[in-house]
Amino acid sequence: MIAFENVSVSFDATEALSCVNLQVAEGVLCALVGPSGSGKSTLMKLVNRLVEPSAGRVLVRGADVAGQDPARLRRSIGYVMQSTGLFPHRTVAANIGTVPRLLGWDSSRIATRVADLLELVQLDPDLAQRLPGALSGGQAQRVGLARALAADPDILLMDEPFGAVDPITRRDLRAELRRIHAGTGKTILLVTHDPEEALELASQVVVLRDGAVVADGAPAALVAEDAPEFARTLLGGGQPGLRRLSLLPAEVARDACPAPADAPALPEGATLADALSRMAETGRDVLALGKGSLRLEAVLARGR
Amino acid sequence: MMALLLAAGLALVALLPGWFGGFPPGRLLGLAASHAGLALAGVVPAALLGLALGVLVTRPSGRALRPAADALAAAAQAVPPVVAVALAVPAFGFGWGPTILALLLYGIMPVLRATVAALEAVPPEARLAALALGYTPAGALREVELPLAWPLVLDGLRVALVLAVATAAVGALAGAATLGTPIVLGLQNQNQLLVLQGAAATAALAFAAEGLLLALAGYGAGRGRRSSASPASSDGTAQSRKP
Amino acid sequence: MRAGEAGRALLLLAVLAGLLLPWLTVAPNRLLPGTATNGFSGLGWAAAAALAALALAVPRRVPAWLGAAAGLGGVALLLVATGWAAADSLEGLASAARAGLGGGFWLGLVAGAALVVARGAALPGPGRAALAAVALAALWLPWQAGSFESLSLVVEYRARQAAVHAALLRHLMLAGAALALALLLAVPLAWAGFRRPGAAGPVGATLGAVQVVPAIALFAALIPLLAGLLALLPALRGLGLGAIGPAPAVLATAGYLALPLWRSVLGGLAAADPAAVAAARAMGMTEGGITREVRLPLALPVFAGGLRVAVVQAIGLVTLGGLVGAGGLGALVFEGLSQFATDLMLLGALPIMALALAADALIRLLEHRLGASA
Repeated sequence: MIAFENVSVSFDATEALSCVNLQVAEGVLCALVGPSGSGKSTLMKLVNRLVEPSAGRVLVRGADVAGQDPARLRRSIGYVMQSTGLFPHRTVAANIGTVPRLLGWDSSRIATRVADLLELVQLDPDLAQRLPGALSGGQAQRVGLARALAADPDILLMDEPFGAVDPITRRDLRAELRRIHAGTGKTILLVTHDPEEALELASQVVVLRDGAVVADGAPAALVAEDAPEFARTLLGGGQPGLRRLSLLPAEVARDACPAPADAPALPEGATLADALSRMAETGRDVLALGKGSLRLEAVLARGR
Repeated sequence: MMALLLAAGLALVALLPGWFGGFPPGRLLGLAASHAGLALAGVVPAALLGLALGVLVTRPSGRALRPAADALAAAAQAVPPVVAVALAVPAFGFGWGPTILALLLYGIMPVLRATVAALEAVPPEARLAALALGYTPAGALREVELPLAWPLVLDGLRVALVLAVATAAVGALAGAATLGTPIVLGLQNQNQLLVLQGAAATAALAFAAEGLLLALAGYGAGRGRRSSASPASSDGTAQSRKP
Repeated sequence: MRAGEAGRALLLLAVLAGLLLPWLTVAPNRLLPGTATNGFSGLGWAAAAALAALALAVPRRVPAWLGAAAGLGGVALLLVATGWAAADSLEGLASAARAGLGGGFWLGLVAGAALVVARGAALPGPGRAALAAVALAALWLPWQAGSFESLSLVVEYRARQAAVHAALLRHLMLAGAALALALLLAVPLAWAGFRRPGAAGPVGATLGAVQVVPAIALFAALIPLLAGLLALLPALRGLGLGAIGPAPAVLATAGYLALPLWRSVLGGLAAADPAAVAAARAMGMTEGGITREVRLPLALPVFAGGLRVAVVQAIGLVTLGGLVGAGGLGALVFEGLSQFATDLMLLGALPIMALALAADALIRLLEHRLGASA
């Protein structure tokens, strides 16, 4: 769906990205993580031509973006930013309806779409006629998300979308995003500096450092023992083993033979980290998991 | 409203003595019309030019012109309009010419400065969002940047208009027929009634211009449902200067 | 358009000014129009040399100091050569004949000076100071050597030297008096407005309304108004107040200066971060201590900005004092205007512009210092 081929970007004398190669398949939620200045935001902005490559090609839906009209390209790709970028002189409804209006939809269709989107991002319809200044941080971010989704783009770019809201709101918004991604199957590129957020939401995680991709893979693979050291340290948060266990479902280490009758049971959908925690609480090295069992050695073997 | 009331009061002060042997009201009104016409003829093209220049120097392609525009604005600040009018006399002779030149010069600057300040005060994320959503640069300017900049631009237009009325009055010294004419005549002939009538009429016209502009802007803002949160004009540098 | 292209445009302007516009006009006396010559035929080889020096100031490859110095040399050469050409053109004519400066000269001078300023702006502080010193020397030395004495403007100055100096002094005194009066009015009002924010609104509206009144109207209207006041209270005459003269000029000018001063004092006092003020109070500082140690240091740069606007306005506004009998440089401008004597007008106008530019630059420097230290 999105492909970067030997892409480099230079601003004046400094090289922001050097020779990046990356593929993001259709329907994937891909998180770009890395320290500030690593080029993650620049990489994302190449997709809708907010940044131009100095070398290499960027392909979107199989076509080089360099040959496409920037305005038309951008209207086909949703964009969410940390500071929301809501237009302060326009109502919530007008903000959400921006891209449909640019695409020339008629007003009744836009009104219907705005109402649907307010419902999708779980906002009170009464907010529609307010100005963005009157919204809370979380509400504004939901409006920003709705605005990005307005013309039903198949690609969504999100630049640290939850960076400026409080932790509780952030948790809600993440759940919202997961739900919307599951429901719509859009391809999403998510820039974040929060490793936890990347691991929790993404099915593909790309780690950048000094303008180069240092790791690219499934979340659990990037905290495994054989993952590049930088990615492991960045994503592992000092406890890469525990972090990895929290990414793996308990089923992967299940033993078919039944557990002892008095073994504590582990609920469906638990992760290996939950299993380890349960073992620590109960002082037992075997748990019941469905019809099978889960042994401490099997759990520990997966943490590497 | 306040400005329009003041204008009406001052107009009474200017016109009333006419029926008791002062400067005839009919001629005063005629001078007011030519004064207003001269000021508008100067300030309208100047304001459009200032607006266009302000937009130009804040675009990426015109950014290099910004220091030159700033220097020009600072230099124009050092020449009082009365001096500009006087210096233009050798080049244009007595009459409308010097006044038109000064009007153009002093109409461009406040609008240019206000436009630049206003466009720079537009939140950068609003501009970025506009581009990212697929506005063309011209569309982003028209639909996002200019509406957000409008309250501050309007203040520049107000300053330019008031300054134009004042500059046109000074034009009387260079031979233009304006409400400054009775002032100059009165000063020359030591006729204090004439001075008072001319001064009151000139001030009345200035307040009327300000009041009408603000009323028009209020009407426009009411229709456009704009946020009224205009940042207070800052340190007085945007203030009008008098000839 | 890059900076180098702006330099090329200025150079082109200087060349066109020398080619197409009158550089020197020779007239039988100070009031009659004269016959004009353009820059190149009037100045000869010196024009070519000056332009070559200016051209050296344009390319970005030339270091800023060299470019600025070359440009300065070019401008100085233009000035001196113009003085010489004026002397040559008056040779054998009657003593009343005048060699006046034409539009081409002024345009060429402004373009050349702009080129020097543009290059000099890139220099560090000491470099700019050195450039200014050299520029002053480049004017002063030929002035002392008598290179400019044949120019009509200088002849006019020599004839009225005492009057011009008196007018300059008078102008400064009028501007200073107006500034002092405006400060006396604005500072207490601003302090009251800061202490009681409710009072700020009406004061701002009143001072703002004064700004709308065209200056010529206010200056003129004060004459009958003061005359009326003096008729009611003749005792005021004893204080030196008159309906004509400095009183209306100072009062009217002060009226216009009050707004920028008031606004900058108020803005400066409010500039302190409320959190910093709260912290100072929490640490046990008295209100006086907070004002002295927290508010004032932050207020000074803002106030300096307002002061700069007020000083530049004062210098420009008291020009109109010439209309109401207050004297000053404005009187020279209006006298020149009524006689159609360009040189006399310039003798009034040039110092006004120079004073305004110098005051602006000096207070800007002060603002910068204050801003850096706060």
